Amino acid sequence: MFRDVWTKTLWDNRRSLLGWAVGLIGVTLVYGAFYPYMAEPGYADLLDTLPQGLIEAMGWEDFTSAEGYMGAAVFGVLGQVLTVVMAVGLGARMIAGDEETGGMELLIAHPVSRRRVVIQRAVSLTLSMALAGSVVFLAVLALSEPIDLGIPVGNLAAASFQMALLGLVFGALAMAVGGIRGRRGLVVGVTAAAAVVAYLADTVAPMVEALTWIEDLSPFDWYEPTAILRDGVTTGDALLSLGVVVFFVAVAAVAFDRRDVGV
Amino acid sequence: MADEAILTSRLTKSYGPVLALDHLDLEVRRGEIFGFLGPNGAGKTTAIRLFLDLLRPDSGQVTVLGLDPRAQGVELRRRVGYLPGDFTVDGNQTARQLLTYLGNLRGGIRRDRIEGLAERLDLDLDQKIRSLSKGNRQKVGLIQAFMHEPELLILDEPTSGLDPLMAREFLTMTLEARARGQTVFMSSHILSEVQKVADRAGIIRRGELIAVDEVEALRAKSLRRVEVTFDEPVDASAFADVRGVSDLVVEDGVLRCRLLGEADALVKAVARYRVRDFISEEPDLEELFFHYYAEGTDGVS
Repeated sequence: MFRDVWTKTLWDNRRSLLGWAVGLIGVTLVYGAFYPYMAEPGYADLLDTLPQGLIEAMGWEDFTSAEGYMGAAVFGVLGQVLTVVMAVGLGARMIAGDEETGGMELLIAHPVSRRRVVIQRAVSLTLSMALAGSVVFLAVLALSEPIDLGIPVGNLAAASFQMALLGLVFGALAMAVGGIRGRRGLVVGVTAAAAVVAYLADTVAPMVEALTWIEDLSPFDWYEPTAILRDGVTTGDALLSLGVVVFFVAVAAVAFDRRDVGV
Repeated sequence: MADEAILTSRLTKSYGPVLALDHLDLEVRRGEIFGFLGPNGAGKTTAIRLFLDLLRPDSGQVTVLGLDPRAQGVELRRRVGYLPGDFTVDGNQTARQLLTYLGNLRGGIRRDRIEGLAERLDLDLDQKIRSLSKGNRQKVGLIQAFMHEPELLILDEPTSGLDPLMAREFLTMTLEARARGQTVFMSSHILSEVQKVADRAGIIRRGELIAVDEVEALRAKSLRRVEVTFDEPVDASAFADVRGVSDLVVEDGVLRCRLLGEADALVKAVARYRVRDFISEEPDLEELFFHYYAEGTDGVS
């Protein structure tokens, strides 16, 4: 059976992971399958009638090209929301959720340090998000031929990877908040609020001239699916996201190590 | 190596404005069974969680097996078996899966050790924990605390949920642990349960330790309610001077009183009449506390 916290945590979350994998595959296949209809000329005319601001906010500037459509539909709003929600749910469970249901107390009464528990749980979260990215990638890959997508496999992998990484940023934030305070509801609330603010910062703030700088601070800005599908991994953004993940996990480990557990 | 299994000095913990533990000075010797008695909310669980580094004290010191819980927590917890007061785990696994995993966190536990304990406690290891009754879940908790034969067992309300037969089996397990040289620290709100096995007991109330004594001495000071129903008319005066009896009332052939310490004198006095029923209640911890308080304030021994 399981020798480590991270393998056990993955196993304990197996049902939830399976559910998310099925959901992500379903959404990817359904949205992807619509691409051939979008490539027809009528839709370009339809889009022209929409306000420019809305089009930019939704990332529909280039809805009729393969990269534009996939970047807006599969790897866009819906994919991002699903990935972030999945990551926040898992991240909140890693410390705060487990603490509220009593499992954490028993675990850290064993000969494992709290920092080790946090790090192993972060590994578990990372692998869960890797799974999410992988199933999206495989689903798009499976569709690629039938819908005549024509996007290089490497770029599909890059977009899947960076979408999973976007989720991981917020999952790690949920762990950091859980490290500070062991209340699952609070963790989900704070993290979800942060995600909404970050999303608005990436979509709405750029419309106001004075607020464009805010955009750079948003993890959503570090993930531009259409550009990634066209040109591959945006290395700087990916490294920045990874750095933020490491920072959040470190905050979780240090904060959790310092406080009372289960009060 | 320190002689004490647990040693605290002025250990204090509060949750916001609520003082949960107030300058606790406690010494638990190696190789003894120590009962930690107090009503719910007295601070027992808080103290226990401080021993294991689940909580951090506001002030004061604690060492467990000579180790500092904060700095040497991993080493300490390797040598301790802990049963939480509220043993809750993910129900979506079998008892065997959970116990094997917890054993692996300790570097592996022999399979037959887990199975032997499960057999003693009459627990089916292959049922999902979710489907187990409260008592059977408690058995899983006991097994994980005992299975690695730790130097020190810290058990928070270990018999809660157990039926009387299993509670007795558990008490036998603690005696066997002591015979092997293990130390047992168990909290309870029931005096008689601790009394059966413990060498010494401490009594805590509102975060303050108000007494530590040999269990026999506590028993001698314990106050219980007694009710005797007679088949013939009796007169209260016949019992007024019996040793240990107070608050005596006799009406309609029923005697009610409070009894301090051993029952011998009262039983012999009652035996002169025809007795239909004799009920001796569990000594009430609260009343024991009042007795100690009275002693503390009046200086009566």
